[in-house]
Amino acid sequence: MTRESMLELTAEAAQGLRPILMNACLESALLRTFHETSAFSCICLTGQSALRYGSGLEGLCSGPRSEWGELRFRLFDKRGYYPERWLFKAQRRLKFMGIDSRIGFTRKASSHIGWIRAPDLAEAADLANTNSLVDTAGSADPKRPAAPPPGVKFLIHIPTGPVEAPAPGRIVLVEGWGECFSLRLED
Amino acid sequence: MKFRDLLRLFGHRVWFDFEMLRLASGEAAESVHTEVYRWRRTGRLIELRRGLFVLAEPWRKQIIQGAELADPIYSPSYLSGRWALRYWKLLPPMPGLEYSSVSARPARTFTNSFGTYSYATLPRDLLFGTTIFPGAEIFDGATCSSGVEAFADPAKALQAGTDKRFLQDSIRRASLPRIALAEKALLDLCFIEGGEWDTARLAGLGLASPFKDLEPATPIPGPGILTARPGIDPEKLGAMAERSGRPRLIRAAKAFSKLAAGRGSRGAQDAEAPRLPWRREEP
Repeated sequence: MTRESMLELTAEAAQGLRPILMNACLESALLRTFHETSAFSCICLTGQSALRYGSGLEGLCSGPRSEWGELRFRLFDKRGYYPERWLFKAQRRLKFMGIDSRIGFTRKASSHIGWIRAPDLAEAADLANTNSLVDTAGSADPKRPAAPPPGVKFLIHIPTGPVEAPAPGRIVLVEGWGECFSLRLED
Repeated sequence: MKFRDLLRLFGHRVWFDFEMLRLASGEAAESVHTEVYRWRRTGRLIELRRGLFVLAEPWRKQIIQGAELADPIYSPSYLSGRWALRYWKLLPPMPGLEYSSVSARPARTFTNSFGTYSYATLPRDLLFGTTIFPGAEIFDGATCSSGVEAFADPAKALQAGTDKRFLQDSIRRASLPRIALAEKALLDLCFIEGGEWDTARLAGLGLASPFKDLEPATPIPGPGILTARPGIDPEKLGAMAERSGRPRLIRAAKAFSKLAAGRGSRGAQDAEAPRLPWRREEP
């Protein structure tokens, strides 16, 4: 998927749905990078994110009430765990798609948080005129602030105890939003 | 992993990669490598590029068009250049299959049993002017439909059937490979092959119908339906060249306009003749 096809896709959507669709495309690109870098050998998707993909969907990562796409993972094997490297690769992938992005990463004792944002997409898709919070019909409220640039945030939970454990969960194959990848989901 | 497991897991797919196999099997990478090597040696698996596979003919459940594989082999990319011009019936068909694509990634060439896939590097700002590849339908519609139906949170917000249909359509279209429009394919070719493109060089390309005529420019999507030759619209070509901001491409577009104007006046004289098709027809 390229920047042009992403913009083409969102151009046909209602104004309020555009950031959600963009987040979905960014999330797919991020997860495809995780797949390519064998990230699912050491982390698995948990919580609401796992539920979402477990229900058979290649779908929307953020609801209308959330400005970020959010993914939650859990670390189960330290071997091959290089989240910063994955993030750089995701940024590189977006670059090849024609999208300039910004990344960030924070390490805490019990969690690692990374994010990727694409401010130039917001400008190109005219998201500045979109409200960050939209109602159920996808229409915007003029009193609310403009939507932030599309982006995806991921949180990796780091267990405080020993993390070496057998690979948990099940594997699903996801196809959608221009990418195809495997995911490891926690049961 | 047994071969029957592979068929069960990936038989419905056009392609799959090594990581998918490894995760699905739950085995060590070394074991999966060995199995893949054996399947390839016995002709059950075809390797498209390192780590990317399709099932061989008796086991494959889908008809694969070589062009559908261009994007998965080296993603993100789209079909362009000479192959796209041939696809739009602007260049005569040539023996041998070489799928030419462009990408922002480093230039590469891959050869497999489906043909030769060559990828030229294009600056990121030149990645525009594409459309969905009309002959492709790689997405499994049933999976898409059930996925959207089962979606948990945002589905509540997107109750209306129109939104669901829109999402289904969006997911499907996002997964389809893309091809450059006729004008963009010509510009990409000018950029890739380099040098100055004057009227003589453009004429030497042997374009069958160099400029837009009465037939529709929009592709007609559907299995096996190729679009009617769209021709090249000199105005659109000029606009694309301007958008690229490359003086050499702008000059090439101007040269093409001159060429088209020349052929146009000749075409008007020829219009009185009983039949002079734009398209080069097979003898």
